[in-house]
Amino acid sequence: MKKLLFTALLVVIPVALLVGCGGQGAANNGGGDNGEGKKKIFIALSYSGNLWQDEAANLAMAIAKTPPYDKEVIVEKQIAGTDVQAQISQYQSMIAAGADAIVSFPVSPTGLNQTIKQGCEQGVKFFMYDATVTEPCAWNVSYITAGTADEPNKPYFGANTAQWLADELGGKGKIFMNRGVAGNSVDQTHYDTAKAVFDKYPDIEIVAEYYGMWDASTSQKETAKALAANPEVDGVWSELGESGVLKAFLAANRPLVPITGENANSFRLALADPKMQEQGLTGVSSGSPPMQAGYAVKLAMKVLKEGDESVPKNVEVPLPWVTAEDVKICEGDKFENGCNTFPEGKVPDDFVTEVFQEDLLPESSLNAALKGEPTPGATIQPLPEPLEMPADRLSVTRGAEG
Amino acid sequence: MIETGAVARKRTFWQELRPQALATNSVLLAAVVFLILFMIWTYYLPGGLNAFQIKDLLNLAQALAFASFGATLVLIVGGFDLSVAGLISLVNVLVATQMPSSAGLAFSFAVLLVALGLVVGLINGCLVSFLRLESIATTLATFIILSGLALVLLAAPGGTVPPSFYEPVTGIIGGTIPVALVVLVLLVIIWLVIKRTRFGVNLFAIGADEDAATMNGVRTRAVKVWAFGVAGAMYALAGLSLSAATSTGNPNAGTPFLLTTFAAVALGGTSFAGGKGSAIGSIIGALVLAIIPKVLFVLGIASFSTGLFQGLVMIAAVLLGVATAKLGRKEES
Repeated sequence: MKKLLFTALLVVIPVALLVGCGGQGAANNGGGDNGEGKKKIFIALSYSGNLWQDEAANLAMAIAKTPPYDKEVIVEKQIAGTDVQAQISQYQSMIAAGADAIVSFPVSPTGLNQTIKQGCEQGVKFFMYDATVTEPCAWNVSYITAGTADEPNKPYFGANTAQWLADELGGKGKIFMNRGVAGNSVDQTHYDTAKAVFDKYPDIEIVAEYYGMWDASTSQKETAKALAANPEVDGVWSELGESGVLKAFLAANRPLVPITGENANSFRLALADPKMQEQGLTGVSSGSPPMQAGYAVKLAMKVLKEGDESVPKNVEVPLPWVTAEDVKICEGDKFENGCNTFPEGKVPDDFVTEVFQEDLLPESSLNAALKGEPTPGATIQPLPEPLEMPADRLSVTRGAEG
Repeated sequence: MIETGAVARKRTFWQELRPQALATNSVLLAAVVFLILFMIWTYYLPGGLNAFQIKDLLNLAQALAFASFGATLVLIVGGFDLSVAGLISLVNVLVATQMPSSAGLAFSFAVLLVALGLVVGLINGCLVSFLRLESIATTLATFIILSGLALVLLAAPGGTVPPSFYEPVTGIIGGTIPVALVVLVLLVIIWLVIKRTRFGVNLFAIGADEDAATMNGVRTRAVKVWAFGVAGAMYALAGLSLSAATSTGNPNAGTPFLLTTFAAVALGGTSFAGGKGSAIGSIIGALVLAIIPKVLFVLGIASFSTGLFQGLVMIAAVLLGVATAKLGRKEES
């Protein structure tokens, strides 16, 4: 009898939960279509639990809630998971729910195309940040092919950082390459453009190549293995995970070398630290800025207000570029005096620092990136003319048929 | 326990739906769970339900239905097959890079890939039953090899699937009947047929007690090899279905299936200890997993709880499985 009761409970509880939630959900939906003529924007993430993804989504949410957008749109965040089918399902639900715009980190450059096309046909505007899709009706807002703000004509994170490392090493030496996630198109672009640079230097030898999974602890583990196998190493080219690369050198008590990486706060602090410099550390911090997501929301709003033609379909976000002498500590929580790094202890070690961008996202603040709350007192500032991606770089983001 | 064929007590339809009966019929239970979720979804769906939304849902569930059908066969004979994820990745990559674009050739190529799945499955089966290797370890190795092959063939997501293949497969017949629905019905029929063949009966016999089955003259090794073989063919079909749904290649496309396949199987009430289970349950499990995100979405529940909710539904299903087994024993005694 006890067992029977237990089983019955197992059935009843989930059902009760569902019914309860149903009531709530109905209220939510009712609130959503409140007839005030608000636009509906969805922030569609693939996954969460990764600082970069969370910061990007938080910035997108914060911007959508910053006046005057707070009066103009209803914004909702959804996380699908890492598989393509989950995101297809997510987009389908958003389209069915009457989305005006979907601002998204796409999990696949091609797998979502059919669904995006269906959405476009129903008038939904798709804005992809950071990663891109090949479907031509969607907007891509990404740094992937971009050069730095100072040198927009020198494209690609991989090529720029590789060139810096090659120059720093005087065109010769043994290096490691710490890649991202195997089989990912962003990793492939970074790697291919970097490799093309290294291939021009016959005296640069890639002695180890491994996948750090864009994760600091995996990068540390893999770098430690590479260090154990290679008594001699003169430099490291790394994608996200550079703070782990540095930790592996320190843990192995090896002399520090030039390291190129992405935008971890602790990496920038180390670059500017005289003690680290004495041990031999030089480097450059570049790569994917989470502010892209906030920028994408602003562009989406522009399209909703001013029409499709107001924003080009391929928008580049300038590549951040910070060497030791460029590191500037932020005194407060807002963007001031061109600051680009937070003091130790204020943010997690692997906090991705590029949450500010003077021209494109002045509405941002540390709290916006950490909690998704709008910056107190901030209002949406007008955007400068978006930087259009040159046609010769489109093959990277739009594929052969792009 | 109807799937074991041991208990053949007749019940009326309404008796089947009593809590106690539900608890002993995990397939029916899964179906009830799906129906509840389906009703909630359609109730809150803005603009109501139409054939295209059903098509979308079934297209999403189809690959998982194939994969969990295959995994169920192996679980029933008491094995565990991880090669599912590797085979899906490999087939997906082969479709995206090698499939000819004319319709006739594209479908012939698809048949070839199903044959490839069969062969991989048979190899798994031989390693497990003739060399007596642990099935988890063996198929983990196959999974790694197949995933590696997929990465060699296609280093990053890309490639295209010919429209001549994916359009008919994901389409809708006469604007009313999704092709995926026809496929699911066919799968159910295939299972009902398999269950009634000697092969099907032997699957359950081996899973329940391999030694007893051997003593009763069942050629256990051959049956096991074929269980893995048919499973492999099903995984290839899952890869084809996924390729049609996403119309692109991804060397990691199969990885999520490593978890979801067994989640679907568990939801459908198939025992991980062997000897008991139903592919129909697994198919319904796949439908449940596909509809959960949609239900949560229309309910406006914070989406990070999708995983949490899927997990909870799974734990509930597994607990039910345990409760079912105990209740079943009590009923029989």
